[in-house]
Amino acid sequence: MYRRRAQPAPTRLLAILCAVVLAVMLAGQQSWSAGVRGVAMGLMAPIQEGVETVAGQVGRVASVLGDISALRAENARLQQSNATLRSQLVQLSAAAEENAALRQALSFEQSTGHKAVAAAVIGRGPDPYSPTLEIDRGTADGVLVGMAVVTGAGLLGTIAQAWPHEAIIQTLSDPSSRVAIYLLGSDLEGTLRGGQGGLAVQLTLRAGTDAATGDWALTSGLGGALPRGLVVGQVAAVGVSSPGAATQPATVAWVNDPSQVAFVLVITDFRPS
Amino acid sequence: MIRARARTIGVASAWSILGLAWLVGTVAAQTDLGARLEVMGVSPNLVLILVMVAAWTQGGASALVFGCVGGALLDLSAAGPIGPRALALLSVAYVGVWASRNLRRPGPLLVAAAAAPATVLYAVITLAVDAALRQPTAGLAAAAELTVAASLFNAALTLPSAALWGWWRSHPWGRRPDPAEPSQRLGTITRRVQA
Repeated sequence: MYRRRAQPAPTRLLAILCAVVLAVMLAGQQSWSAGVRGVAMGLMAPIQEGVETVAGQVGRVASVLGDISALRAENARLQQSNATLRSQLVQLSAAAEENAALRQALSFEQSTGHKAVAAAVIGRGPDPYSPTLEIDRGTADGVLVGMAVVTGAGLLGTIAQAWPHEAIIQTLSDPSSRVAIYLLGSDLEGTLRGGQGGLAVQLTLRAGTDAATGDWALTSGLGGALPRGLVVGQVAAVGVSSPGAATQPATVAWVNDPSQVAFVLVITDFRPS
Repeated sequence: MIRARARTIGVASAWSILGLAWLVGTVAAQTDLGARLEVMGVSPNLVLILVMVAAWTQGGASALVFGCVGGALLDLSAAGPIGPRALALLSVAYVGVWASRNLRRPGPLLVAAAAAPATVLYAVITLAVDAALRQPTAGLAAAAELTVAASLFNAALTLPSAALWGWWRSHPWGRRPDPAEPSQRLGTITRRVQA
């Protein structure tokens, strides 16, 4: 099956390809390269959407098949009718999922007063070192770099890059994410640092006020990067601050799990300063 | 003479298109389905697995081209410059090719074992290039934790992938046809049926 070869490794080809990659990296620093990248992303988007659709269908079919096998034990007639109903349910649940996302966008606009664009997640970061999400909306839909992205649960991240019909979200899983927050109730403020698992926050202490586990963390709007009042998470643990210290460490359990997100809302009427 | 040359070019083109389609499909699967296969916060690096298997079964040029193009496509789907993952996968392909030519008995188990250090190499180069380009990167402790989990995950997935690919390459339909002998495949099948 495998045979040993005596030739040396193709060093010349490696050198040529490395040179090509370095040239592409240098070209990528130029402003015109964004257009080329946008075209490439546009070509990849239908393939990604196709794979996502196929995976969703396979998952639904697998779940339907599992249910059918459980019902087979009851009787053949019920099984047949159940299979028909299940297949209708699959179609309905797919429509319901989409409806829920659109309703979410509508209720979000009504409850917060912000205008939002609903978008489907069509790709995720290629490896754990790049916790990003790719969505099917871009500058043509009013999505711009820096805009806040939320789900029904709360803040998901911000737009890192945008092309006419796609955009990439930098989620709060990214260690370089920073969000100014305040705690509902105690009004303590702090800066939250992104990361995998719990989100670390340094709260600015005030005399007579303490943070407590279970307090809700919301965006404070300080710095002008994000609108005020978006839910980020709940305080999961409060650390002990050293005597005389001005800050207190705490951990916030994020309300979102990027691996489970299928639809998002991009807040389009708030321009980050 | 001209007909033979045209046939050679035709076969090479067909295989290149097939390889590119396979690569694009793998990249799309990694960026779309990777999260569904997530274990301990880590999803498998399907392109790295493909490059490793290609290095051991397809030869140096194929593995290097797969690494370069696959890495560039992965960079496209990440927020950041194009290059870090392409360079990382090029290095992985080169090391894979070198190892396949210098180890005494290469086989699926060794390919899987090599996938673990290849993942570490991929992580080191990706993070180093990102840091050099002043891109946001994971902290050292978090990156080390993710890399260890990713190495084990990729190695575990490489074993069945390499075994499956090896089986496919040994199958008459999985062999690249020799342009000089267009009836070779049919001949092989006929011989098998006769046997």
